[in-house]
Amino acid sequence: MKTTIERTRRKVLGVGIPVAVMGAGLGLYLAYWYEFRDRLARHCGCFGGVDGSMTPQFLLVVVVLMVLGLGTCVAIALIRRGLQPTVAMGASSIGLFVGALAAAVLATTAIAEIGISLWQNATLSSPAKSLWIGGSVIIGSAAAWIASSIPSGSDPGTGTASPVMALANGERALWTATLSAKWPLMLGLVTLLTALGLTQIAERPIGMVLLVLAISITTFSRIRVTANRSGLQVRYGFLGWPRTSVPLDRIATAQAIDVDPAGWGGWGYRGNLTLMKRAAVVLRAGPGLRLDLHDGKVFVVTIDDPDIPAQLLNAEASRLELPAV
Amino acid sequence: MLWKIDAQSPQPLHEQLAGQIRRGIAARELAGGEKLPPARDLAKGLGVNMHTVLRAFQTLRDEGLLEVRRGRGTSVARDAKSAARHVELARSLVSEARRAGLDNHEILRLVEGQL
Repeated sequence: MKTTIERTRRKVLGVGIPVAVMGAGLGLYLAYWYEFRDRLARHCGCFGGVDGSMTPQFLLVVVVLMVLGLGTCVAIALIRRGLQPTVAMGASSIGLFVGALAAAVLATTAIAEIGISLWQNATLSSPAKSLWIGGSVIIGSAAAWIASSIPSGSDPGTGTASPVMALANGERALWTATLSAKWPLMLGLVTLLTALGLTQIAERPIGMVLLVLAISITTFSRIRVTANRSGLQVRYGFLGWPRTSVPLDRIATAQAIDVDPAGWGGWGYRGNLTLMKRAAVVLRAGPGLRLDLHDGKVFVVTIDDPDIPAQLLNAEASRLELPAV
Repeated sequence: MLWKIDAQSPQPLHEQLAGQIRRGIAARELAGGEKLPPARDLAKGLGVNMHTVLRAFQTLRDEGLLEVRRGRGTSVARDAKSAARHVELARSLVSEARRAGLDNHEILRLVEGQL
């Protein structure tokens, strides 16, 4: 019952409200429909200037198709069971951002056309353009903030509680493991080659963005995980940097679980411990290590044989609780 | 892989580490060609001196179980599985012979006699 209410709230926030916002923009656009001339000015430039023209029907079809496509993706994402709150936040945020953006495109294009005789004169002021882009971002962020306050019934997955590893008094243990995923490496290489190709053909800014993307994707093709009396550490990529550390004194319990990437919204570093209270390093579906922290936060990392680090961390955590003799 | 050392054991730390890698290779926990964690990380993670780890690596390199390449880290030798078996057999021969009262010279003569 609780889950149904939660999912209804998410659908209202991520799909219902964006559709309503988009409807308002569409209403304004259609209200001016009979005043439009054959062509409308296009304002794709950075400063709102006129950089071409289009028919009123073209803009309508493009915006409606874009909203329907993205809206369907968001709705599918929000209907899924076992969805992590972090994904719901992202989906709701994208839903409202796209809805607000589409409404603003329709409304501002229509308003810019009022009282002019030639589409070439339909200049959109820079503040107006900044307002609708900035406004959409703010509305999208507000959706993320509201979505984060919706209580979540979904769980990152539970396994059998891992027993505590037997460690003698003077015994020290360290567990190390590496997990590699082939497809991010290949995807990263393809992106890298595309980026290099694009920088050769003068599209330098797009090339640079793709280069950064290629580095980010490749970073998540390999992780090295260590667990010992200091806690858990995850190092990314071939350089072992960046890294995520969870100190032992923050860990309440550790257990082996089965990780579903769909529930986390895909692969890579999902969520955020500070903002969303849940984070996961997902390289593939399958066994993973779940850490429940003392402050109620949850950290998950996909790794083979997660029972061993779970037992070790439980042993070290219980050793920490015992007063030193 | 799980690395364990016991600071209270009479066995030196580097021997404990080397023994674990040997067992890891014999149990196929460590495959031929597999890279070992950097000595610095192992030392820091286990709270031992880095020279202790390097000494264990050196011993195993001399036994043909590890390959140490400058700048490329330490990895398990491709034919480590068979080498591990020979080292293990030689080790048990030496300890059996010592228990029987043979000295180093006699053990060497014993092996030479079989060649």
